[in-house]
Amino acid sequence: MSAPTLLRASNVEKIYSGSHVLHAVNVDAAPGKITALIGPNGAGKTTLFDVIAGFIRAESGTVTFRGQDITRKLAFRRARLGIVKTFQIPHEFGTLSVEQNLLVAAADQAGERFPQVLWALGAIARQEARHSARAREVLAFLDLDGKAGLRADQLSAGDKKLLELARALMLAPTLLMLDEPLAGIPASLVARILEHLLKLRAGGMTLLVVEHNLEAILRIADWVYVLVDGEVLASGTPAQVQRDERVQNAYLGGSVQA
Amino acid sequence: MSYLETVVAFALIYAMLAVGLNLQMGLTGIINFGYVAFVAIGAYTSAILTTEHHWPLALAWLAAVILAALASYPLGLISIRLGGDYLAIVTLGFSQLVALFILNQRSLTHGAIGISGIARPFSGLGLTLSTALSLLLIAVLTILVTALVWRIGISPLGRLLRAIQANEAAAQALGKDTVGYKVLVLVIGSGIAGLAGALYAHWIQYISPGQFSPDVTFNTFIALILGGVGSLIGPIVGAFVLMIFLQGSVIGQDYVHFLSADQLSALRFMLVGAALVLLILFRPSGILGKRT
Repeated sequence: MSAPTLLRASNVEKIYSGSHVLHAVNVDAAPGKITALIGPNGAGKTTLFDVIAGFIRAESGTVTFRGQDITRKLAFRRARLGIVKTFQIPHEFGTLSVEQNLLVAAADQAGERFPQVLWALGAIARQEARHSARAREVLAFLDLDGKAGLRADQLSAGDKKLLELARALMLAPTLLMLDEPLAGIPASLVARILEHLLKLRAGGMTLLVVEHNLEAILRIADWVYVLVDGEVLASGTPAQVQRDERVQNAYLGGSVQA
Repeated sequence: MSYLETVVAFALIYAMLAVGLNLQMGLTGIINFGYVAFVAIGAYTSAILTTEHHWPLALAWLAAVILAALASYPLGLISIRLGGDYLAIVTLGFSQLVALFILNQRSLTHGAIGISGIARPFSGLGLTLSTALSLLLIAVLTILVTALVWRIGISPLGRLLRAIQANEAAAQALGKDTVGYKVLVLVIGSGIAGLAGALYAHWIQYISPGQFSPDVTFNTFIALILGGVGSLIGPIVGAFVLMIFLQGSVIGQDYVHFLSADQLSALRFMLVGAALVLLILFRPSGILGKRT
């Protein structure tokens, strides 16, 4: 792909206790596009995500974002650059309410600075009001508004996934990395989330999505990488990937139907 | 000074310690088994500055807070990335290091002999008045420290600290410098411990290494757990309950004739232990803790 790239992971290699989880993987995310990462369980998709987001360090390879080498940057610094990822297994702040989960996500809060937190009460209150309004919008969109006051650890598994997405949306990231956003989500919401992901793309956001629901993800993706046993087996448009025989054989042992 | 006044002063000082520990453990989930080190640093700083360098009390206390806070900063940078249990062990080791330093740096700390002649606040006003005013001052400072931690707790900062405790990786994924915030909490909590140490030194007027044993840390933990981890007033209630248990045996001697003083003093630890066991069985979140 010679098109401009927002994020590039080059020759990423990751070894866990002697065995290769990723072999010289190259993945690009083009700006304003939805890039999908598919592959069977254990293919290394989540590991690659963690390398890109800065949660684990690869043995070799580089990660660049907007042309800047971020290979050695800490995860929170990458998030501040605009790379926000969600977790496959929901990482809710269980002791906080659903709404508070979203409020934590808001960037650059006056009320999180010490010692200003002790006296800048007016500025904090105004910022909180703005963030609350934004949080309510996001929650309403994901049908979570009725649960805003619930403790996050009391949510169902599906709602926890939605909360994970909602928190990331609070930050309006440049690159949104979603690790199986549709897993465990009620079927009635799947179409709605897909529609929203398209809307985010239309707004200029770049998405990198790991997803097992192929039928859904191939419908909205612009570019697809097929990861098998830690290697990129194939990449292309959804149509190209579905026609690829190697993909059909190695991945599903049959046809990949969208 | 009467015995009761000292019990109240100790309870207030333990309350301040428990409030500071609550910021670390209750709000942020940092297990600090070396808390006493910062109490000792505060006590010795203020004692040395006032007795040998004749600093005004207020400045010496400020120095105690700052030095205790500063001492925790490198410790935090080095060790805060460790998970709970490992951090607990490193902090315990740090407190032993501080204890050895105090014992051996005789030119600075007078070693095992300790430092005596530490002045009470308002000592020029006569014993009765200075005792009363000192007690009042300790109470006011304990309230101020509680207000500080309460303010942090209800602010977006407190919300973030709870989030870090609940899931640190998620907070990082949202761009939060979790290590920086944990170090901040360690530093603030240590400053509080330093202040409590200075108050203690000037109340008791004599300090020696033996007074800063790990018991202080664990008594603070007991006060916090008794009162309720994460609650506002809980640590204060816990500190008073603990003091009643620990010191009550001395008062109780006049009423319980069938036990010797030694037996009574041993009994109090059994009572504290029994109270803790009962508490954890029936109210695991503490006397004033939130039911979950």
